[in-house]
Amino acid sequence: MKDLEREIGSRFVGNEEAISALILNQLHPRSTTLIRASRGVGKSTLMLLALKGICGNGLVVVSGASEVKRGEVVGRLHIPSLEKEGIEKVLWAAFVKSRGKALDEVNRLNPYTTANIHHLMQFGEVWAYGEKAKVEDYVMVANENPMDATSFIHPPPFYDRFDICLFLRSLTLSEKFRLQELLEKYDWNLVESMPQVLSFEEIEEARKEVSEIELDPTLVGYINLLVRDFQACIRDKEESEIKPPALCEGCHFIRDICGRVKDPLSERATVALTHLVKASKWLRGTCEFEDILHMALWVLPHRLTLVRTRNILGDLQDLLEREKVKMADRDLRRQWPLLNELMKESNRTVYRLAREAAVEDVAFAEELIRLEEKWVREGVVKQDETLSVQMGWKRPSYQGVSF
Amino acid sequence: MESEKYRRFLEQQARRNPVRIEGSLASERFRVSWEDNEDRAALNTSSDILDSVYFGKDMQETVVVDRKAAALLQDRLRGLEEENIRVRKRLKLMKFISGALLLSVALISIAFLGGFLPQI
Repeated sequence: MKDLEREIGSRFVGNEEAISALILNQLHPRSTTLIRASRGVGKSTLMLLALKGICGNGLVVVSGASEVKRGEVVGRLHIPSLEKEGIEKVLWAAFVKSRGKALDEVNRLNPYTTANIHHLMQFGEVWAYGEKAKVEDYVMVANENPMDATSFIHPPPFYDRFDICLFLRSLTLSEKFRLQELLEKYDWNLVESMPQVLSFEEIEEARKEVSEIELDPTLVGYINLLVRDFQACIRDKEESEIKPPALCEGCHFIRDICGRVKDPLSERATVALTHLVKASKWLRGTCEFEDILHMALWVLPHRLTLVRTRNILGDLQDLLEREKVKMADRDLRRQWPLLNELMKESNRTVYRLAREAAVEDVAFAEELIRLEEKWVREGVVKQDETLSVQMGWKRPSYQGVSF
Repeated sequence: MESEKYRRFLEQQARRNPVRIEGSLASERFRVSWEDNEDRAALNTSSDILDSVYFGKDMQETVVVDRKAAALLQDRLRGLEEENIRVRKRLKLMKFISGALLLSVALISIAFLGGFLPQI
């Protein structure tokens, strides 16, 4: 994997972090990467370099810039079989069978093609003419320029199925000199010179080893807390017809991270972060909380909507800085050790301290409210004495029913 | 049903940021307190002033007090001032009562002495 990173790095100037993220994201089955950038920054080049490094010439590109037909993405009928024997035999498209799948200019793909690819990513299968084909493990890299005038607006669940979203920047002065040297060295074709660094069997072996890594509960806790902080809402925004900022008016947590997030993260963010943390442990031998925050910049941008967006990466960086402070505050308040004590046995004094911590942290309040519900059932506390009743807060529910 | 990993996460957090409970939780008399781990980097935050006030730790060259800690101290000072006024009032009353008691003891003593003297 390090050789692959080196080979790509020797042909792709700048954006080292994007290359590094792209490599890490290949270390789990059915990996999907989305590259977002404006035109001419190297989206397609990076996509092809990565896929060529893994699949050689076996990669298949579906481009939104060309006229894509269903038969090219999923499958078509075998006409001789139909004419001679009257049998509907499906010839599955190269895109379905290929291990390396490239989607160029995703924003230009028509909704029908997108729906087929969405189904492939979701269920690992494709359908055509009543026939189903299972799709084997693959590497999918896509790119798009959402600012493009000829864009289709694809549904958020489609983008949610991409593990990470990488942003590319244009080159600095010195980097431009380096690019020109590289272009001359590789005869103006960077992708053609890219060798296949490892076989798909080797990457499958690596993926298997990565999946067997057991993560430390603290790291898992950091991932879950980070995602929860971008989801939690004491006014249940997921089910509410009114969304922030209107929903947040008069809320105790209005200045918290939750007040800046309009549409919260899906659980796929947790899965994607876990895959990346495992990959980092396998490839680099280490992964700290700071690394997880860094990875969040690849996992979050295409999955949430903020109340106000000036620059999605800048705004997210600001929120992740606040998350860092939030985690330090949690340690200072000793809220998890207090919860640990309360889970062993209920106690008024520890409960009072936990309540004080809960008014500072939505994620902690949710856990305490859940514990209160258990105590109410057991008759340890009265319903009227609980934090949820006194503050008017409720745990996430679906149509008014708590889980 | 709690996840085993969730329990282990809470236990690890409890080990990293220990809470000291003096006395048994089962009894009425116990105290909950905490101190920073020794290996943790020194935080120049409002906790320093609270540590020096509550745990008697040495103050650093610069002591930063954030709004929350300042409000806490302000509230505590206000409470202490009110307590001071109440105690002073009680002290005045006690002074008056002890004066009255002394006077009554003196009067009773004089009365007793007056009762005995004519017989001598």
